[in-house]
Amino acid sequence: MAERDLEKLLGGFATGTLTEEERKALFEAALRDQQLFDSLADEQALKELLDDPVVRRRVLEALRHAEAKAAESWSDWLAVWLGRPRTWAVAGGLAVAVLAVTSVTRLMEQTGPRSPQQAITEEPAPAPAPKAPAAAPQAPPVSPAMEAFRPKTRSTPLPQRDKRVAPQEPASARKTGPVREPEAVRDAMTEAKQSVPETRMSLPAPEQAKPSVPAVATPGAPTAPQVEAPAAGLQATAPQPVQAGKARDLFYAMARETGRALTSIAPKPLGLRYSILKRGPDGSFSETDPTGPLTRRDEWRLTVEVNDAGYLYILKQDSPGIWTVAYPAVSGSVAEADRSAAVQSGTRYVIPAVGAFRLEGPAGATRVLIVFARQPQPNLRALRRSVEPSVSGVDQPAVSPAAIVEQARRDTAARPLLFEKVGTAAGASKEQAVYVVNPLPLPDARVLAEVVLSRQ
Amino acid sequence: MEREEILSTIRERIVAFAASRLSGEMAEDLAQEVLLVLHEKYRDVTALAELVPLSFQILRYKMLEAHRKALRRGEYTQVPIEELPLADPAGNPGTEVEHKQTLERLIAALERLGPRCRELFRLKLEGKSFPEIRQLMGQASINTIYTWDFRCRKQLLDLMGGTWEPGPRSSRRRTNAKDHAR
Repeated sequence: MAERDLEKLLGGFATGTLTEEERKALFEAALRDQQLFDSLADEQALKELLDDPVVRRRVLEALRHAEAKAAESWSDWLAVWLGRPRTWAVAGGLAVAVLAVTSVTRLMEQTGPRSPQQAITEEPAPAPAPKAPAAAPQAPPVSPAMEAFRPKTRSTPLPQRDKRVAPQEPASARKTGPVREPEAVRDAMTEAKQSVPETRMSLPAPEQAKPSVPAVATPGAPTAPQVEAPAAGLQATAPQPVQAGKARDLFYAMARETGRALTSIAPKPLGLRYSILKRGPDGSFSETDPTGPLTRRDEWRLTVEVNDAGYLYILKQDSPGIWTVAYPAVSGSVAEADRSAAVQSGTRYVIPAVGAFRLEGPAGATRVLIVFARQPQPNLRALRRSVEPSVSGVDQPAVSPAAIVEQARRDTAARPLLFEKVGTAAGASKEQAVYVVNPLPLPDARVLAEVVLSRQ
Repeated sequence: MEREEILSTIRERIVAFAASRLSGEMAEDLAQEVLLVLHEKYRDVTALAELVPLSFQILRYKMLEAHRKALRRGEYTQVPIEELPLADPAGNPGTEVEHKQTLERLIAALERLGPRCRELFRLKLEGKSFPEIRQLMGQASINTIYTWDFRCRKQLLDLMGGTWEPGPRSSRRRTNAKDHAR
């Protein structure tokens, strides 16, 4: 044993448990080391005490009693602990927590696989800005609305190309203006495009009868969206329970409850239904496969129906990098913009309200971004104003649709989403639409869907 | 090492130890008294492993008696150590009371130890050696037992108030001894 370790034998000196070899080593070391000698001399008091057989026996009894007492005290403590009301309260709380975690886990499992290309997301919506960005002529290059869309931890500013002000081009026939898309976003969208068909075609296609598309109603104003059948008609044609998917069930369950009465204050899962209407040879529009290819000559419309009151925003990209705002068509002040974006459940909105879309631009896919939220989206409101500078008459802060799309895609990847495609590509089913539902009933939920229309 | 050489070394250690606990003057006297007892009563003891613990025993007895006598006289400064009569510990009521009090303190401290320390102390009192304790406690290394014992002993000493001695702390005795030296 090393010299420095000999002091570990001190404990054996008092109790007399050292071997002869250990005793000799310890005492030799004590003669060389004054500190060890002092320790041994101090230990002599304990040694004399424990050398007394009576004392030793009493100490041993006390130790054994203490060990038995410790074992008993554990069982006693457990019995007392179980007898306390607070204990049962804690146990009950834990049980509730376990149940809650289990329920949330099962709900998450029910959402099934997510398709990032459907681009559905929700996040706490930023509070509406007290003043519209357009009201500040000296506004910074990046609007507050875009700042609200950024992650809180982001410290680096947006690339300069994202801050470009929309070109002051004249408004098109649909009163929308183009905005250039950054290359990085264009690359991301090109990459995402490759996986879209696979994801969508893997969706189940239920065979049950679906609510027919109501007759198109006459729009109230040229710039207002075309409104279809009211909620009563929608309820009358409510589908039977669909076994293949759950998004459609959730969508209509919420729509039915909203149609009855808003007796429950708690928010329900937010959802939307969209479909593509294609003009047929007879001149009428009918639903077609949302993922099916279109020709350059095809005229098409987009229909959107929501299951709760909220705000709807639709962006369209005909050519890579060029985005236009398809809905709402009315801009102006903040209140006007929010009013024009407000939608109700049970109403099927047709975009455009007048005429139809055609696949424009160079070869490639047309993309449509649908955003539906319970709260107004300041960034999308500002986007509408930014592409239509003539409406407000003042320069608008730059708001990049591409940045919004990119942010939405990132958010989508981290959210539980539920979507369901109804109908078949062969047109066997009358209803051909896609249901997108956020199963989490949040008061500020948001649903986002990205539609890709490929050119034949 | 020869007996004379061992005794000489023991004397040096005793003087240093007593000086740290009492005073320099008393330390020399105490060492001399211890060696005197060893010379007169234990002349035949020559082994180091016996002489050293014997010297500890005598030293403690001498120190305790000197301390008691000084306390009984009220002051440390009035009576030189050589004039103090040596007391017989047997049958001394004061010693028995101190003995009993120390035992109670020890038991109380042991009950406040952790289960492992209590088990270790119990095994030691049952006469188990460290290698045997290692086996009984299921440890692979004897050093683990040494380390546990070192820590448990330190914890027990703290619970006892920093000293194994009965009555006031040794530090208080040291303070009184310094007063005596002045």
